[in-house]
Amino acid sequence: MNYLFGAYGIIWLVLFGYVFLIGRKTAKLGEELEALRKSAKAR
Amino acid sequence: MNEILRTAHAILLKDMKTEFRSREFLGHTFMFALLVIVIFNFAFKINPQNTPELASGILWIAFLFAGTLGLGRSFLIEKENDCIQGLGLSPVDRTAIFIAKFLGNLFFLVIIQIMTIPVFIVLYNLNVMEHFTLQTAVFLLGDIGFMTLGTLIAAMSVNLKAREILLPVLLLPLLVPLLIFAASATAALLTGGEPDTYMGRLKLLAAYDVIFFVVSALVFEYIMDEL
Amino acid sequence: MKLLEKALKLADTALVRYGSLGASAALMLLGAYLALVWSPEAAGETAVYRIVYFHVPTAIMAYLGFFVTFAGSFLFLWKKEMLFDRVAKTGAELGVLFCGLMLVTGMIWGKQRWGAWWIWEPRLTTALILLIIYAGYLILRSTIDNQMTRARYAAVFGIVGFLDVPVVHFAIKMWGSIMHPVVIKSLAEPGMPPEMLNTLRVCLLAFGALFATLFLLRLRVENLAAEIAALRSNHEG
Repeated sequence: MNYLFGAYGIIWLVLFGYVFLIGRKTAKLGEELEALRKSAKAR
Repeated sequence: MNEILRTAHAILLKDMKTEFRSREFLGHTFMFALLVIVIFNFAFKINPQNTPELASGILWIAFLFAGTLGLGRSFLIEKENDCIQGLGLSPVDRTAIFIAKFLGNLFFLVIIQIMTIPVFIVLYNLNVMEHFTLQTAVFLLGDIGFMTLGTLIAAMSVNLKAREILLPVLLLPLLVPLLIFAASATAALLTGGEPDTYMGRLKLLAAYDVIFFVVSALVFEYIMDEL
Repeated sequence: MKLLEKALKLADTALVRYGSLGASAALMLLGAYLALVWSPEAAGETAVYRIVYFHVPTAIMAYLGFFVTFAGSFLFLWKKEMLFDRVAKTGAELGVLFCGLMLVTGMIWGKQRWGAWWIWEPRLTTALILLIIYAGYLILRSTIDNQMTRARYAAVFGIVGFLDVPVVHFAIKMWGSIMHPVVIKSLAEPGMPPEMLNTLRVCLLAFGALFATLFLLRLRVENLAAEIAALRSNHEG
């Protein structure tokens, strides 16, 4: 039974973790993009 | 088509001439293959009973490792002498380069095998080439598949930073089916398997070879443009 | 292919992204409920058999990821559009992710069934080899700095690798029958009661939605990075 929880637990953990990592990367890149766009406008 | 073959022939001859002058490399690779075979004897308990089963594995692993070394070399010499630019700039069909390199590599591996197998027979007291034609077919077909993908991956990895380790890392997983087919065919021949088994394996090997040769020849040009 | 590019660009809106994330989450929860609570007991198996409801979809998603890499690689070599290279990379990453999950769930299930964390059983072994091949793809990408070279080489490897997938599958199955003449029965037999089949279908749908979501999200990261790089080189130019 523990195996069952373990298996499902791992799947959920990994998936959440992956989505979280993507989210963080997206946010970071989004900021960078904004910064670049602003500095482009400033010229 | 004739143009391609003629060009391949020319490149092959060039490679042969430069390589035969450095017969050392052939010797070194042969030593390595030999070493692998000898070391296996210390790593496993090999006795006359289990030798037929293990022989196939030992041989094929030795050839896989030795062949991979030889592959790395065939493009490295070009890179080292900066010939690669010349090769890449020349207006030849990329397929010709692929065929030439492939044949050169194949020839090299076959020579290594011809040198290594007799030694194996003596050391392990097992006539591996008992069913001579069939066994030769297994080796040849296995070599062809090996060198097909090997030439392709070697051409890629020669341009990479970690080329020595990446070549086996990228190549060997792709060769798992080949190893399975070839080693099991050799083993079947050595342990007296049924004709269906090894004929089936030979057909599988041939199919593997054809598929990957065609594909590799087709995609090879995309690698050469970078060189 | 213009159509494909347009479709991918259209999907790259916040609405689609959050919408599909929400839909996937809902479907996954539904699937989990069906798998863990609703579906009936299996004859001759303990409750741990329920792993299969998530294990089978992860396998299918892994193969889907590899196919996406193949398609992206092929399209890139054909059309020379960097977008396809990004698609290929995303596919490989997802493929590796789901392949890893497939291995883990397979191993856990195996531990319960056979008492060992690993046996050289055809499906597990194939998954292992495929994982190594596509991990190799990602490693290959990481060692090349030049964008064009990386895209080209990765595309070549992506094509060859995918062609190897069915061959590996077949060869290991053959090898397996040499090594383990005893046939290991899988759970997905035709005599499965409809409740089980439906649960499996829902879970498959859930994972499919999840795959699509992750694909869109991950691809967006790549697209953003590409945009940034392009802007940067414009600045310097």
